[in-house]
Amino acid sequence: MDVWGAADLGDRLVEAVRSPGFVPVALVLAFLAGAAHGLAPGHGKSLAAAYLVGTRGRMRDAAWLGFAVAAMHTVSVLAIAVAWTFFSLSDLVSLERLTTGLQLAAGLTVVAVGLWLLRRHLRRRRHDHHHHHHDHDHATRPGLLLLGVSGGLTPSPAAFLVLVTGIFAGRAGFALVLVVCFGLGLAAVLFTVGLMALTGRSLVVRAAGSRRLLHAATRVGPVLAACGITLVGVGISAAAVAGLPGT
Amino acid sequence: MVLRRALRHGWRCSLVVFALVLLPSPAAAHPFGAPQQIEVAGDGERGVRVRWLVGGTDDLTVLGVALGVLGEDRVMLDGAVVYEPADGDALAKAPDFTRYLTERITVTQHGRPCPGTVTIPGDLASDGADVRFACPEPVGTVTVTSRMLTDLHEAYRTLARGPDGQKAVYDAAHESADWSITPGAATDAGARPVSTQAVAVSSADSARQLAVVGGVLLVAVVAGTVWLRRRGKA
Repeated sequence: MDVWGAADLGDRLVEAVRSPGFVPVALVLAFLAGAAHGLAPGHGKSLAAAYLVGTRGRMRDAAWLGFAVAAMHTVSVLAIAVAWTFFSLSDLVSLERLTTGLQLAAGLTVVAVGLWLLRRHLRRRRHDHHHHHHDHDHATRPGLLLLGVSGGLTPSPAAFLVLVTGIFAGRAGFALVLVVCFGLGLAAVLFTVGLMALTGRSLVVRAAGSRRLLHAATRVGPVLAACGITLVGVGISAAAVAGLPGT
Repeated sequence: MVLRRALRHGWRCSLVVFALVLLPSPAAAHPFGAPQQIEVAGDGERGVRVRWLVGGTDDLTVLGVALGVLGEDRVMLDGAVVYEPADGDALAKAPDFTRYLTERITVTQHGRPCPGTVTIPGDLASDGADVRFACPEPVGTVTVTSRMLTDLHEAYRTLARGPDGQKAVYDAAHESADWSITPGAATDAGARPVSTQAVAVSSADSARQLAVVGGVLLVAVVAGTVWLRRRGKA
């Protein structure tokens, strides 16, 4: 079932932390492992696409989203690895429980972003109705950053293993650089998916031809995207609640 | 014509996006969790205690099957196993498991072996197993060898902690490391070929490395953001 070889790449990456030399190879390996991890379901690919399409995002917005995911993933892996290594985190909470909790937080964040988008759109529509000016919903930084944060909140097992192995083997600095490269690989996937969604949308818009169809699409599109994002968020949260191990 | 080609192109794009979203998860192969660990500690004047903690609980089931304590039917067709609490109890009672522990984890003092005995203080899955070693002389620096689970698969790794924040990583290529059990004990380096020996490293060194690299990254990100903003305003 390991279509993208993510598990194998992860194993080789942990191996690379210890072996001296071949630093550029290890960096590329980390980037590829991150990308392979990002290609697995989840990680907000569908969310990124829906958000960018629904809010008429631009290429720059897709880049911001990717950056937010990479940054949050790095911070999350670093915080958990340091807490686990130096502050006996496992005495307080098992790692499985912690990551499920983080997944729940990520899901709720997505729900919040979805609802906020929906509310904003409906409000603006009512506003437009009275004043007849066409200020369309544009992508906003807070929404983008929140989606990115939720995408990077749950750390990947491979990145965590790389960092703790690095800390235990005395190569903590190098391991952290590898985790950053891993996050960049993850970000690259999200950025590419975002660009594809934007290209797809502009093609549809160009091909739509009739103005009425286009008008309908721009009215319904954002609502659909907001509802979709909310539903996916509910799904993520529900999966997290179902996966919470009993005490 | 142009319109039709554009539509076809858009359709292809959306198919790719669809495929990316729905493909099966490789993450399932590695659920999130702590890796296998050992803790090395002094135990009286001549004793050393090594506590072994399993990583994923399913590794206990795999080990149980490999030792013949659990039935082969516990391994599913795709090679996966599901841990049950009874597996840990069965292993804890099995003499084969005790023998496995004392064979795979050994302690030597200046090349002389310290005999070990196994105690399992509580739940094997959560509390681990203790191997207590009695050494011939008062303990200063000892060599701890761990080859736990590497016979099942050579990708198994063990993260090891010792007194005063010492740390090391054991794997199939690094099976032993020297540990200072009492403060100020000199390490007798060169007793073994360096290539097969893990080096116990200090926590302070790791923390320093993380702080330096983390600080540089933070500065780079902040500088990048400021630069982008300036450029955006100009």
